[in-house]
Amino acid sequence: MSRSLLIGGLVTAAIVGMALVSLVWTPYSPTAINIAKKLQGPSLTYWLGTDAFGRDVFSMIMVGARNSILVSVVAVAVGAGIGVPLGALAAARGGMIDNFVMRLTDLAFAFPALLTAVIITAVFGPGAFNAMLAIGIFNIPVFARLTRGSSLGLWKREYVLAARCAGRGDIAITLDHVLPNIGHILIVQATIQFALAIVAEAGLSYVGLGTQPPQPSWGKMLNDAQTYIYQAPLLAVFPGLAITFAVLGLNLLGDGLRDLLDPRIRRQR
Amino acid sequence: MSTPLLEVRNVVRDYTLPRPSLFSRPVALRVLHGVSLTLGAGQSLGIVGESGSGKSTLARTVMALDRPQEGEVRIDGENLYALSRTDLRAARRKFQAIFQDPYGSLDPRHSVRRIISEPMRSLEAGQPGTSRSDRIGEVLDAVGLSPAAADKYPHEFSGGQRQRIAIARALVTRPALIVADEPVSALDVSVQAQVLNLMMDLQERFNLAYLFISHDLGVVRVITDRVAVIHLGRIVEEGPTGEVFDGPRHPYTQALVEAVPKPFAGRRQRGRSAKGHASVAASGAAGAGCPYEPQCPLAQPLCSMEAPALRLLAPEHSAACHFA
Repeated sequence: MSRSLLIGGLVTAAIVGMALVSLVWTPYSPTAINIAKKLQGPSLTYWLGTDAFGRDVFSMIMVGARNSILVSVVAVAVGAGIGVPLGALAAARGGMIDNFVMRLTDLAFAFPALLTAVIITAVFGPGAFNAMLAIGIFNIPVFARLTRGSSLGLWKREYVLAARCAGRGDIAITLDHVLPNIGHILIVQATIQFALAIVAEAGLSYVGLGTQPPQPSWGKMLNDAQTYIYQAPLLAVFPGLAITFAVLGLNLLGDGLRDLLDPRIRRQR
Repeated sequence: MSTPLLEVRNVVRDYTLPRPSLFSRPVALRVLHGVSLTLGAGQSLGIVGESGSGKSTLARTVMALDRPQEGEVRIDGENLYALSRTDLRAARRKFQAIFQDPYGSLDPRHSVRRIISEPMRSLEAGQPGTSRSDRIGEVLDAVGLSPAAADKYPHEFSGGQRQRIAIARALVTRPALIVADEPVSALDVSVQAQVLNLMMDLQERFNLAYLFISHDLGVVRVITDRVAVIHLGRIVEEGPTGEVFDGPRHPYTQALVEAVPKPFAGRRQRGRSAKGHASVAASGAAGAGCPYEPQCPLAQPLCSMEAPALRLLAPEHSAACHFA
């Protein structure tokens, strides 16, 4: 097992674990306001201090992890759930269908991803659900292209020809021979898109279009902390660190998984 | 005469080339110019020719993978390209294929059992599946592998063993015809002999017909009864294998036969046989004359004016040359 897989897996597991624990227990309620205890530094009572309303930062980060993970999981699921079948269809059929799907993805790529998400949430209204959809939509072309590109070569393989000689149709071949052989590529891409979605969610929440108050979110915490950057600089550091660790952990996990799942490397073991 | 097992009639196959620019008309390249063949049950027919001559396209057409622009492919009298999807699937039980690359023709993520059972599951749907694992054992035994091989994965086998697995997959539905596209060219010479011997044993045992595509004349001589020589998408000579290779009538066949490296012969006279070298496919510019005329050492004025038809020269032996 590679070191990046180990470290990435541990960091990701820690964040997921924190999110899971927040479902049943947080040190304080993340929404409980206590103005008397506002802007305190880290201490034994408040592990990471309190914010301008006296809310416990550690509790907010725990629940924020939950929101970030939920938004990213749904966004990546939307992107992969629509993008992978589209890409597989384009690769299987070729010709006009392929051209049509690829031009659609070109169109989607022509707009900067985060800007599109801002437009979508601005039109449909801010909120966690619309943020998921918006981030999911710009994940679609990523998965469509990757799936098409990596399946195209497989359609020329002789085992696919043999399957066609055995009378199997395009859908059966896609499910039995194509997707299992590109699964490792898709999983790695999913971890990278997952990290990007966390950043995107933080970005949307930072400008107020993502998770809505009083639900805590890492991006919103950064935004709130900005006002008090001179009085309480640590307030911005903790949510920033949470985002950094989540993205770093997922990227390392993706790298590690790529090595683990690559059939060429696996064969040598 | 009864209907032959395989009958290919006047097959024409064009490939559309990628357009040079968005606004130009698509250009077609004709790969097969009206090829006709017949093959009886239990017989084997070799197709030889250089790369780019259309051998593999012909194989794909016979396997109903690549619809030709004209002509028909009949198996037991049924035109494959006129059948409905269900009927074609039923017809596929009668013909299967073996491919060139023993590493590329088996899905690396499927066990040998799953690989061999794929044609059974797909082509015999609705039939009782009880005896399938017995049949996998039988077919593995027939190709000389142990039944324990069924639970292994392709990367655990050598090239020759993988080709045996591919043969087992082709054999499991008990087809009457196996299309073999360069089945031994990727193997070591010693392994080639084993696989060829196996294929000949199986032919006898199961009364198989082979359409055997190869560029290796030695291999074709060993395994086939008859041979067709293909050049730029046309059959230029056809006949019993021994007769064609020992007394080639068409100048292209003569060049092919001479090009086979022989030990010691010709080493001292290297400069002499410069005729009959590779003819790079320039098939787009087909004029009225014989397509082989530009490379032909025997070309006469007639050859550039009139294309020769395939004509019978001896019983069962024909060639497409005015002077054969």
